[in-house]
Amino acid sequence: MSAQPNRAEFLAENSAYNKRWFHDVQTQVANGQPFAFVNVDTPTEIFKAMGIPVVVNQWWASVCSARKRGPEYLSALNAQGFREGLCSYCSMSLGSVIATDEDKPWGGLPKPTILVTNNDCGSKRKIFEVWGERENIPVFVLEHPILDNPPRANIESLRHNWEALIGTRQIDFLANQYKDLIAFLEEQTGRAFDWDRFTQVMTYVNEQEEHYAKTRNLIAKTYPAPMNVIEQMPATMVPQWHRGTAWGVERAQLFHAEVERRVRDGEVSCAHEQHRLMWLGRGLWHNLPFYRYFEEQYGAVFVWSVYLAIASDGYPRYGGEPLRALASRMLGIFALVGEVPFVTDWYVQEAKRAGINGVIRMGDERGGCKPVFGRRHLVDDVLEAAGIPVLTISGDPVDPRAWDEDRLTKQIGEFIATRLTPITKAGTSS
Amino acid sequence: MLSSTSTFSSLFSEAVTAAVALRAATGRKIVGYLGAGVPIEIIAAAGHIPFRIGVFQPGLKSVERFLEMGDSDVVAQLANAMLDGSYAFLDYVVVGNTPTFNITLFHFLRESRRLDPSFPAPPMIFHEIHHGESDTIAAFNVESCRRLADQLGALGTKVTDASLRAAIEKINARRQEIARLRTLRRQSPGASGTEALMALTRWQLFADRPLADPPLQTRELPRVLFSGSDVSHFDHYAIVEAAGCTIIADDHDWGEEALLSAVDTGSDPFIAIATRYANQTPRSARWSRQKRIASFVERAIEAKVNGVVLWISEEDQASSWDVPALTDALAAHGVATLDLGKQPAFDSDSAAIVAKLRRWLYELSLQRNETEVA
Repeated sequence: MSAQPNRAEFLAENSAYNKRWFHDVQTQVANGQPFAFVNVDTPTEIFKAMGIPVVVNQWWASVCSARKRGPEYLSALNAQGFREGLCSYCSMSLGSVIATDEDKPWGGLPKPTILVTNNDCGSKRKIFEVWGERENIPVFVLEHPILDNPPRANIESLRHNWEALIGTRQIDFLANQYKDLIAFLEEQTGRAFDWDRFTQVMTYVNEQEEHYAKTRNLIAKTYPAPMNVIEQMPATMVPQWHRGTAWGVERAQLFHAEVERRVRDGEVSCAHEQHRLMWLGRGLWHNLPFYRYFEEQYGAVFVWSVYLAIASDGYPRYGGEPLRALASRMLGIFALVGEVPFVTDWYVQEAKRAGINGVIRMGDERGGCKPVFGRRHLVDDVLEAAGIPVLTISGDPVDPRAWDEDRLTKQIGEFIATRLTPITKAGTSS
Repeated sequence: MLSSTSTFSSLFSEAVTAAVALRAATGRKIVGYLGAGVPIEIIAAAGHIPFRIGVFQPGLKSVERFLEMGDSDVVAQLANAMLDGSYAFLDYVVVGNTPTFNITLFHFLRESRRLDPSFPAPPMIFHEIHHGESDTIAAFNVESCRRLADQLGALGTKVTDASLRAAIEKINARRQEIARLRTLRRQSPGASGTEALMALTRWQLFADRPLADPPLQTRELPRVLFSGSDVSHFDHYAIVEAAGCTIIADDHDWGEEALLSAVDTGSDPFIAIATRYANQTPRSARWSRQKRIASFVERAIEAKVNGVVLWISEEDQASSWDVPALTDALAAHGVATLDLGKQPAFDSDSAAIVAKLRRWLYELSLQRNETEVA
């Protein structure tokens, strides 16, 4: 068994492709081609079926954050009169447009032809409207309905049983809005929606996500873990932004092949793995190496983050009319990550699958990005009831100013030593 | 200070007593509702007594065990009110999707009830109205209203077009009382903002009682429009007016603008209801930013206010995104704005706020004098 394999080669290739793709988009936009900028709750599948390049707000925020531009871009918003501490993840891209720096990440975001957002929290819409007014860009707003009485079921059954779990009324409403969006895009861009292409996109997405599911399952059942979240996150997310393409399928396949090879060759993330940790919350895009420290110090490996798991269980959809399947995908994803009982059932299921014995949950002292109450308590309750201790820490996924590394390192270290180690020892001695 | 939490708490107690007495006399059920986006006409048409839910006795004792870092104080207070017995008299609750924090509350209460059937919150129905302009959204809103009617009808009297029309006409008449109050607030002698808010609250808590005119006072004080987060508690007006101004117009979920507009009586009653609630005067979250700001400025001008006070909770990020453009748009029409900055959802520092307001009002008075001299 050998520890700490070199960073997978395909990750560097993914990043290089992503950058090339982005530069191509810049060229296309410079030549007058349309370009959409959307929030993460907008299905990029529609744009791919129309040949409209699309960048997701939170992806661009993670690019800016990884290049340590968060504070500068958020300050640019404050300089325009917007309060501090507002919606950092969702507003950083707007900040990147407003800021006057000359060396923007990847040459900067080209001016979008259209902005699309959901309106669930009230703020995302406002941010896009500020942007739209500032640069004279049309904004299309989607409304997600509430799943007011969802039945409970095995979360993996969502891929087939989505109509029953999400609800016909809700799916119809969102699918009809997607039809409106398509009409709007056709009118704005002159590009036609191609149903055959859309069906192909949906097929590609299913193929890609099933590769992720196999990868997730393989990592979950392999001890010590062949790959930690530092590699899993970019291995999942870069191709996810390109989901619905042959490239996305190929990269997900490579991801699985790499994990399979490591398992075969006995390559592991941490040879002295003692604890398997779940990271709940958005990825620390400004500080991915943070996770490694705990492997070295405590043999505590972050083996689970939401990115690979949501790809595995949130995205696949089989049967039914493709636009309705797409609506059920978007509603299902947000239910899985934020709505009880979906989120509670799913986290416990996933923790058990991956042999998790401790959870680190990143919250936000400043109130988070939208009102929360009780949900985290309910999540913690079910995890603790399943014998899995939970630690809540405070931080911000894109703003390092809200990140106190020394304090958090100490806090997590103490949690491992005082709550996880005794359980692990007891398990070993019995 | 004219008002305090205890004054509004008394209003709540009176309303509970009256609603419970009416239930005892008529057998009608009391249906609580959360948010000004819930159509009270449908509740009434199903034979129920509508009763608005708010936080009248702030506290967190009943929800302490659920609280943690970063949790919403507003939702926590509402959850507390739902669990501490204050609303035990309700038979059912309709939760509207606006303000957006209602959704968080709904999810929490739904799951808690599922996990523990003895959980002391009444059974809930969720109701959605969206404010987009597309036919898709309009059709969903109508269907949503029909669905609510079916759900509430099953718990009382079946809602028919005729019964809904009758409820619309009755409540439209009651909405004229709000229009009258609005007029009273703007004239001199007029009602103080605090008295007006008490009248509005009384109306909403239990909309079966006629609205008594508030006492009128001759006030030569600056006229202010109060814009606040959709927070369900009521001390703000008294604090603002203690600084020496009169709130003559408001912009929040408990204010007159949320109640004023009548339902069209000439069309299909469900379409009319859905249209009325979708096209209420725009407030902060969920509505189009441009429409909200345009409507806000129009209202400020129409009310001839000297200034606008923005009391925005630190939790209310949606409203915060409007502040720079709203301030500029008001300034372009000569209306000054005081943004009180990030305020806690509960327990603001009233002395500091009054001091800040006094300074601002003094500056406003200087400007007014200069204008008059010029």
